[in-house]
Amino acid sequence: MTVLLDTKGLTVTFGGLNANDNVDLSVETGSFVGLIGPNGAGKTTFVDAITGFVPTSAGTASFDGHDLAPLKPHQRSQLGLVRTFQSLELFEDLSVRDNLLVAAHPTRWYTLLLDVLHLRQQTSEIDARVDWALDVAGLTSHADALPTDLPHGQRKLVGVARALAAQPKLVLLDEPAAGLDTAESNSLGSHLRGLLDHNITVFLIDHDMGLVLSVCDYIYVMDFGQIIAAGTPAEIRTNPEVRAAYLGEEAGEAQARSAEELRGMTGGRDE
Amino acid sequence: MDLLFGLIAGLGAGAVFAMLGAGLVVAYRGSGVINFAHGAVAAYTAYTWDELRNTSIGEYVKDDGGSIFLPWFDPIPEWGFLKALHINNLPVEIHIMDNPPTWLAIALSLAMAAFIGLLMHLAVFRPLRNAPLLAKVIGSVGVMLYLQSMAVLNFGAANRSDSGFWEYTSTSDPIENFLGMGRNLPRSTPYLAAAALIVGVAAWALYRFTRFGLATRAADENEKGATLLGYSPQLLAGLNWVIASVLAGLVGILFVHRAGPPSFILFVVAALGAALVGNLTSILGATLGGLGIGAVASMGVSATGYDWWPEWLPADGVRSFAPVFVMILVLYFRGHRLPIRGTVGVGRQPRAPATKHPLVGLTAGVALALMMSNIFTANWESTLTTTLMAILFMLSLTVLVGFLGQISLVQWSLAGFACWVLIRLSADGVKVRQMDFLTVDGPGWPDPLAALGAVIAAVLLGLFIGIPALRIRGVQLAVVTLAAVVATEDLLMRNQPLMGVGAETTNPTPDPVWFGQRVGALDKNTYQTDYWHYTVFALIMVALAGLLVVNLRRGVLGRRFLAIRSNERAAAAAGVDVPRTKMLGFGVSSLLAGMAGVLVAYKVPMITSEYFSPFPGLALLAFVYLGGITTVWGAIFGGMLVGGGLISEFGALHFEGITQAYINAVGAIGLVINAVVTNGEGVSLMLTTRAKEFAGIMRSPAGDPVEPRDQPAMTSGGTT
Repeated sequence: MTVLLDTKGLTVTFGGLNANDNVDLSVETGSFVGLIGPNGAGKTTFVDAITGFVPTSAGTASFDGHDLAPLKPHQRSQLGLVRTFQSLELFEDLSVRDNLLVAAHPTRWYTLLLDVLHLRQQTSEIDARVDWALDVAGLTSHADALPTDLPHGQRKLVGVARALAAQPKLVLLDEPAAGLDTAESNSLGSHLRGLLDHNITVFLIDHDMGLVLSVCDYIYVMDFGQIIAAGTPAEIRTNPEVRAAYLGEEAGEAQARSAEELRGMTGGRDE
Repeated sequence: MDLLFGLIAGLGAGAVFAMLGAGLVVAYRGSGVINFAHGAVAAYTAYTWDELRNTSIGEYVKDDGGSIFLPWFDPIPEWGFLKALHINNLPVEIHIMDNPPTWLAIALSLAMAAFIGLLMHLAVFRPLRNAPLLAKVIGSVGVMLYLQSMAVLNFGAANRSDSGFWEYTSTSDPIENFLGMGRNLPRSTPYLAAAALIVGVAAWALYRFTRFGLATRAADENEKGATLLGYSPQLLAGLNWVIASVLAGLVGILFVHRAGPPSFILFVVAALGAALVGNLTSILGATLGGLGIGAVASMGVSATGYDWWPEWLPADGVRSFAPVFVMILVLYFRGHRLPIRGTVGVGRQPRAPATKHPLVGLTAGVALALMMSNIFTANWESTLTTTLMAILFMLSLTVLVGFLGQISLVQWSLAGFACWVLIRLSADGVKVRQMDFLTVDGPGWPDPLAALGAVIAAVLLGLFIGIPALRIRGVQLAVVTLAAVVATEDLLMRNQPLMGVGAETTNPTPDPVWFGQRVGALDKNTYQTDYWHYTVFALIMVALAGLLVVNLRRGVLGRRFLAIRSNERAAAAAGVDVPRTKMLGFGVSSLLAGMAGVLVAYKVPMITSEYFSPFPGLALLAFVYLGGITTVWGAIFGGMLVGGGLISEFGALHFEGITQAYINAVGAIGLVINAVVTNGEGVSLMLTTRAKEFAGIMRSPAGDPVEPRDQPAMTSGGTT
């Protein structure tokens, strides 16, 4: 398998504090990789850094053979490195479908001309992709609603669907399950595994240990900006350092057990 | 030496900018609003002061003074049968006493300023406190326009030359041969500079050392926290508005011997520059920034006297460009390319639905206009074309402000620039008409080509002014573009070497021929601006522009514009090239503004740069906002509302004595109401929403009320 996303020594500094410290991380094409860590560990900062929303102070990041350093956020997105936001960041006065269409349409220099002459632009292919993304997120019946009219959990899913509509190679999901109840979270997990069949590699950030352990092939654990452990779910589950630092002994046991059950349910595979 | 003297002489004007800037900071910290009307408060106070003392020199001597004029007008008509009813009208003029002493005049003037501050807080900014940014900016622009119209209505259009607080004019009794530099310095300059420093330090101390200041700073940083500690943020905001307005009033009284009250309104531009130097939070920073801007501008003007100074940079242009220059430097280096996490603005944007059946509307509109053109007599034909011109211009604001969310106040100046370039390009040094005094020389391009050149020039200038928008957003962009309005007028339109003879005063507009047809509005036989060819020409232009905007909104770019308006970070994450898309928006908008400029050039027989001064531009913004800035229908409605447009002229038929000032005042009031009540969606969108609901009620069997779509019921009162 080829490496899709690769960071070496990535460091992000906010006023003397290393929010990300020397992060080495790689995501292989076709895999489902997770990043977990407690609140404030620097997970979102890591996503911000590789998608170009905060400047890095040291280290390199490459995606699909491109060095990311000179690329602006929208260029990274056009390469297929697409993210969602923990804090929603939807287009609140566009309908759900329009939210997706913004991401789905490719940019061309003559777009203005086509618009002004009111010519149709690749509609069937784009419509199909948007419909698929709506379906994955379970939003088909809400396509014409405004995001503000939806409950919080579904708004989260609009963000996920918008990322999927952009035809990503790698989708970075920043806590998509926050605000969902357990059932919704489980159903989302199984949908996300299905993305692999559409040639979309998934990078899932969450602090819900159950979800991450159940769906990911490989997991990185971050604390205080550093990667403190990495491995398969089985390794992470038994890693004493992770248990001590992040899960706490007993809670970890319980969550790991529930993850085990969930895994059986969703039919997720081990490595 | 001349430069050094210029630097020092500029401290007089700099003191004014400093005090106004300090007031802007006070208002901003108290309420989070950048008050474009701050200079207008100074102007109204200066008028009040002058009216009380009545020391004005000139044709305008009425009585012994001693009257104050409250900042509103009497809206109840007094003609016909209404006069007989003896309605107790709204009091406007209150006579205090003949020849009041100076101390009383000062007290009353400052009380007026305080009263205006309180009114602004209660009637405008308090209701708008949770509104989106656009509504707040528009609200403060509305107040500016309102106070300007009130000044005209209550004090007349004549300028004042008050001898002021010190009882001498700017030229009497100067400090001769100042510091051995061989030049005379107005005696008030050092006093003014000292006053600015005293006011600045006193205001700083007030906010630094008193409990009130502490509470204000606390509420500024964390409103909820301050509320929990038992301070009422709205009470604090109100007090701060009063203090800020009194500071503005003080400027009006102190500086009226050097400048006429009307010019105070635009001092707000330099004052905004000063406030930005203080990062909108530091009173001392604003004070020093204001003094600095005044000094630099004055030094620049001195420099224009030298032989080495290029002729194409006129002194007035340098003076008004100085604050723009400072602002752009400050903002550009402090701005961020994308807003950082957690700084995205709150508040819902007005809806911007796509127009569904543009061809129906287009056909109906064109047919109606042609019918009117056939029925109308000369004056009404002119009214129709004024409306068309306004609609075309307003479409440029629909794109830029309505769709893209970039609050630019400079678009009317772009129209003006296009107008001037057109005159210059199509001129050939020959008299256009018998009656012309001036001839402009130029390359004599054929008319369609000159029009194209003018539009391209407007687009290029629009893109150039749009560059700061890549890093500056929201209200700061509005500030920069307001400064650009003044700079464009002085630097480009009134620039003789660039625009030819008569650039400053009147330019004869060309007599255009497009493909063998005369398309200018002036009928050579009757000398009236009613030639029907022009109506058809304008109609074609407006129809094309309207279709362009409708299609843009329905297309991929329109969606991206709205995405950027809603959330720039998310747009970038969705693969939208934000800088490029913004520049496209500025380009399209400037194209439309340039086309409007061409229409103006072909319509108005003798044009002065006054036509493109800031207030007509702001009035146009006010009316399109009132009509609905997010839709093409809104622009059409706004175009009819505008002074000289169809609706207001029909109104004038029935209510004689309606002047431009009344229309602007009504527009300003409507604008504020619209911002508060409908979140800026405007009359047209409100009407269609109501109409749909009504249709829904009629259709549903038992007449069940249809669920209201978004907001609780809006009252329609007062918006028409």
